Amino acid sequence: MSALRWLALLASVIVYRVWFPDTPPPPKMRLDYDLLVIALIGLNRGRTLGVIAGWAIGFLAAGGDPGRLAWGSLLGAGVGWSVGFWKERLFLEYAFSRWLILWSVLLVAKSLQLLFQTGGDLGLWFASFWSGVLASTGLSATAGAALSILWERARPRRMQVHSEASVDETG
Amino acid sequence: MWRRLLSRPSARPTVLPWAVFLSLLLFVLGEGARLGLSETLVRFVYAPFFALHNRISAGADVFTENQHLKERVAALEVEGQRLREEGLENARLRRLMEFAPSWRARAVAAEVVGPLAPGSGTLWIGAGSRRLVQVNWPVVTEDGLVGRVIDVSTDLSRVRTLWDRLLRVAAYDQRSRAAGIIGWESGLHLEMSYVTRAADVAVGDTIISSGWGGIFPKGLTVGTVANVDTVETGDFLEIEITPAVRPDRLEAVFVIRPVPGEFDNVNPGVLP
Repeated sequence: MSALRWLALLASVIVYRVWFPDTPPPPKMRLDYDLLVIALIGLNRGRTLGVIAGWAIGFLAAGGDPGRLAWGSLLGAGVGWSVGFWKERLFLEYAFSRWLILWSVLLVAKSLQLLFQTGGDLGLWFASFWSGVLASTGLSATAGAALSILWERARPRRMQVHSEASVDETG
Repeated sequence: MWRRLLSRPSARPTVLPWAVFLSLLLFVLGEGARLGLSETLVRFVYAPFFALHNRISAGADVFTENQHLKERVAALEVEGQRLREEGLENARLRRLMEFAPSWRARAVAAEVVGPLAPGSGTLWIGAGSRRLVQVNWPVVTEDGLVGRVIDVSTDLSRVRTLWDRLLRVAAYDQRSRAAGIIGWESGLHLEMSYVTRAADVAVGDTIISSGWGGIFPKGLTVGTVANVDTVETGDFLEIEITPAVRPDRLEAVFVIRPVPGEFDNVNPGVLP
C-alpha cells in the first residue's frame, strides 16, 4: 500500500471522528470506524502492520484528549496485534472466521474502552455495554468481515494483472 | 485445527514491544507534555478537518435557512395578497357606507359567484334568503347600479343586470333632470330612451335612477352620457350611456334592502 493510501486511510479515521464524535456513555449504536480500520489492517496485512497502524490510529483517534493518548495508542496496537495473531490461527476461507475474530477482538477492545470512559462505574459500564457496545460490535464485525473479503478478492486480481502485463512485455 | 491454534507464530520481527513501550512512555510523560502533544495534534491534524466540517455545516445551514426564507417569502406573498384584497374590500365597504345613508337602506355584501355569461344578462351572487335577500331588491356596487334580484335560493340569488333586455330603469340627467328609461340593446353601452328632443342632455352628464319605478331607489348612478344623437328621426333623442359599472369587472356587489315606505309615494308597477 502506497504512502498516499496510508495517509488517506488515516485521514478517513480523522474525518470520521470529526463528523461522528464519541457520545458520552451510554453510547449509541455506531460503527467503530477507527477500531474497524485497525482490525482490517491486522486481518489482511498481519500483526506487524496491524500494530503500527493500530498504534498510530489509536494515537490519532485520541484527538485533543491528553488523557486518552496513552491508552488509545495501546488499545489500537493491541487490537492490531490481536487480530493479526488470530488471523494466523484461524481459517480465513470462512467468512464466519473473519467475523468471529473481528467480533471477539472488537468486543474486548470496546469493553476496555468503555471501562475507561465510565471511570470504573460497573453499573454504567454494564448498561452501556448492553445498550450500545454489543450492537456496535456486531455492526463493526459484520462490516469488517465483508470489507476484508472484498479486500482479499481485490488484491489477487491486481497481482494477476501485473503478472500478465509482465508476461506480455517479455513475450 | 487445534494444532494450528496452539502452534507458535512464525518468527518475525515484532513491533508490539516497541508500541507498548511508546504507549507506556506516554503514560509516564508529564501532564504538560501530553497536553502539548494533544495541542499539536489538534492544531496540525484535526484543525483543517474541523474547518472543513464547519464550512460544510455552515453551507448546509445556509441552504436550510434559504429554504425557510423562501417558504417565509411565499407565505408573506400570500398574506400580502390577502391583505391587499381585504384592503380593496374595505375601501369598497367604506365607500358604500358613505353613500348608504342617502338611500335609507341597508346593504348586504355578496360575492359574484356566477359572472355574466355571453348571451346572458343575469349573474349569480353568494347571498340568498338565509341573509334575508328578497326578489326585486336592487344590486349595486360602489360605482353604481348593477341590476335587481329576480330569483332567491337559500345561499344564492340570481340578478338581472342592466345588460339584460328585460330590465328597464327609470332615470334622469342629474344636471338637467331630463327623464328617460335606461335599457340595453347590444354591446357594453346602455341606451336612454323616451327623452324628448327639447330636453337638455349633454355628453358627460351623469345619469342616476329616479326612483319612479318603485324598485330602484332614487340617486343610484347608472352611468354617464357618451353620445347624444340629434338626428331628426323621431320625437325622442337617442342617447348612449356608458354604464358606471363595468360588467366584466364585477367581483363583489351589495344588495340594497329597501326601507319600508320608501316607494310609497311612487306608483309601483309603472316601471320595472
